[in-house]
Amino acid sequence: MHVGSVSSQQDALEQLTEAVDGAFGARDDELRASSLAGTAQAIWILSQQSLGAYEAEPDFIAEAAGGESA
Amino acid sequence: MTTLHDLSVVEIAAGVRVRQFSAVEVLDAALNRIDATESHIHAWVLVDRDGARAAARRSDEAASRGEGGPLNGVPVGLKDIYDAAGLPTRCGVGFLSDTPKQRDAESVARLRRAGAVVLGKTVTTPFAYSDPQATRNPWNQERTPGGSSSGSAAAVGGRQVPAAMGSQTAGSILRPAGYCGAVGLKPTFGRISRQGIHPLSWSLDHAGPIARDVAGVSLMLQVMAGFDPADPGSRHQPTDDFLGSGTRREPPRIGLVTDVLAYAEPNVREHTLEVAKRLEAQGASVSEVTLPESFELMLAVHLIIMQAEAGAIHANQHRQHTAEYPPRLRAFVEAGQVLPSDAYLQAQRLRARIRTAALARIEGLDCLLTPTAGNVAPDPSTTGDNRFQGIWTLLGLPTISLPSGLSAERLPFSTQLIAGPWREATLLACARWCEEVLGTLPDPF
Repeated sequence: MHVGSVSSQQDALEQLTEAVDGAFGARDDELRASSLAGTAQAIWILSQQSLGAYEAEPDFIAEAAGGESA
Repeated sequence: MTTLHDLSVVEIAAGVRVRQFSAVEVLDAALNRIDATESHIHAWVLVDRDGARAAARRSDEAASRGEGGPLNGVPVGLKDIYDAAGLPTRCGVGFLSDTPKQRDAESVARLRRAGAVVLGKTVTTPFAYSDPQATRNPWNQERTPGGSSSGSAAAVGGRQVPAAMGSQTAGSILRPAGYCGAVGLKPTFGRISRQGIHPLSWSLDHAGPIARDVAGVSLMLQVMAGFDPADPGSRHQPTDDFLGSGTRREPPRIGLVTDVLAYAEPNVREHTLEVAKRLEAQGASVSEVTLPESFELMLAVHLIIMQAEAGAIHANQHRQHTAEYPPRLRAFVEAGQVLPSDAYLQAQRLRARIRTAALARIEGLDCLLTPTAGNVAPDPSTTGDNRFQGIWTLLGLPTISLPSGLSAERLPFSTQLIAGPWREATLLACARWCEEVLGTLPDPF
């Protein structure tokens, strides 16, 4: 799974659920389903954003290079 | 009649210093209040009566010599993710060691050096995430105190102790403080050391105080602020006069963040607009501003970063104690462990972009204003709504929550102020000014 590969929020949820089930086993759990739905929505929102190659680097890259962050 | 358990941090420190009353008398008043109210709110996992009494006696001895730090004789509670020498750190779960810790967290050491009396450990949700515990709101025991600093907020709001420490990764200082009628301060990322505090998310975790009033959190910040080489997130920044800055009298320039109001419940929305009007009527300049990006994007970025980092932090412990993990935390860290790396990296990049845009919004203003949460304290099946606090935690900006009135159900309303990075002195001065306009709350019991 990667952010660029999701085609919809539902697709993100299906890919995420498959990954979690594969790693930790499938289980019927309402809180878990709700948590996964929230994460899938976040992945979908992120997938809709575009960033230029050097538009914004994660703070920790500047930090590792000796700069300061928030 | 004001009794010792009603006094604030600053009032206690001043009274002990001039020997108007003793630190032992202050401690006894706190213990009596705990004995009278703890069965209603369940704020503590451990009250260290003997250790606190010994510390209070030392405070009185120091006062008798004309010595003692700025918090001499002030009892404080510690959220049970903070290490304190001689006490275990259980993080709200049953599978961690009961062996007492050998040394204090850096922030706790600084509190003790300033004369604070560590009264004990307060209830945290497991590992400071969102599975609710037995703690209840002092204003209504059918309501949540909020979380994850549930016990610290309930203990301060319930006037068991004048101050307590919390931690915030999304909204875990400001929200419980707001729900319980206390003041919560989350300083700039890097201002207070997190060494000796169990982490949840490295780039989002903040340490901060909860107290009865703005002066109380200002004095707590004063003694804890400063660089610590043992915390990789700690920063070299001058420590301003946080308490003295509150004496400024100029009305603040406030930006009312209007687009978040659509996400608040109607009574909170109306209350916040009313607060803005009251502040403006007293001379504050209030202008309308909007979020730097959509609320949904800011929340998504926060969630992905927190979840990925929590998944990594908990990977080993979760593998060893899977069945003992509470359901919300278990689901959260399991998904965190399978999140794609590009989600985390894109979220961190977007965070940088949002932060730059947010700083431009604050330019020319002293602080922004929003509700602390979108609701008053809900029922105890959850710890409440962390969205209004989490978007600012994401940006590492200093924030404070102030009690600003009571709802029709007699639950505290709370107002959040946000300032630019390292501008705690300005934030606290604004908060003191607003506090004078908005007034204080009565005893909840």
